[in-house]
Amino acid sequence: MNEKGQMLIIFSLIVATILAALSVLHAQNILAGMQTSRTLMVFPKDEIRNLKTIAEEGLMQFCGLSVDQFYERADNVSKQVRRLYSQRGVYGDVVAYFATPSGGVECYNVKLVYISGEVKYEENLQCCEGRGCV
Amino acid sequence: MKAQAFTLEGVMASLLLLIVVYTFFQSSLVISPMWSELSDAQLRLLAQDTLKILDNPDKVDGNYINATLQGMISQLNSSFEPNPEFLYALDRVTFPADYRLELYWVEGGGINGTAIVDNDPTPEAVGGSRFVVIEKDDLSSDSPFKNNPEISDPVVFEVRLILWRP
Repeated sequence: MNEKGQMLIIFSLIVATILAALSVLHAQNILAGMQTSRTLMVFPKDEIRNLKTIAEEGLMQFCGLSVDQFYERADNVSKQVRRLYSQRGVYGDVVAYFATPSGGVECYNVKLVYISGEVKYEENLQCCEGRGCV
Repeated sequence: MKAQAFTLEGVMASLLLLIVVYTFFQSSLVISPMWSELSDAQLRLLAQDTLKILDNPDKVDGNYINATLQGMISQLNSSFEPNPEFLYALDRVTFPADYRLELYWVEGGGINGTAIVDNDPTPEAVGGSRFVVIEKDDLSSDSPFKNNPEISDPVVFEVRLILWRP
């Protein structure tokens, strides 16, 4: 047997294996980067910000009403938001609760929900008239 | 025997190199089909930003500002013609893209909608939407939404802006 030739083949096997491993690593890095940037692009940040605006400004205009009137208007908003989001195949909701005091609402809690095929988002905010939501 | 061993070794080596080259080039050419959206990303962002800019619930002397979404919607009558200040603002912000503006609301058991600016989009058009909450008391007296019992109070409007390159 030609030992020199065999050594050559063994070394070329080692080099080929290293090259294959590096190319797989390179390809995985590219795919990971593409998927990360795509995820950032498709994340519905504008829809979620819009829900926060509805919670903060849309419901805030009902402050001063009695609790029953506040909840009636907030429920109307919630139903319409759910219906409008449903035509896009997405679940979006703004649910007000813990509105106080009963005579004239000054503060309320609100739960934001956004559920699509790729994202599930929920957040609770506490809002007070004149102070905004946290 | 020696020759057979040589040949086998040569074939193995060439196969290995072929696999490496194939793996290298095949992996680096993977392109996800969703990336066709990349060219529309800027236009989609412009649509969202335009609606965000025009969304202003502040009032001056008890009325919404004419150039805002709230001002436009509150002044609509049965012809659904937007006021000129709003159209001017929309033109300036979306320039040089062409646009179509639609309005949707919940009426009775379903969703009703109309085109506020009725231009025909191209197949490459992209859109953005924004929800706006307006009380019926803030709508003008000839508003088609004000005295409609099928529409709840307050009214949640979805404003949809569709943009395309001319």
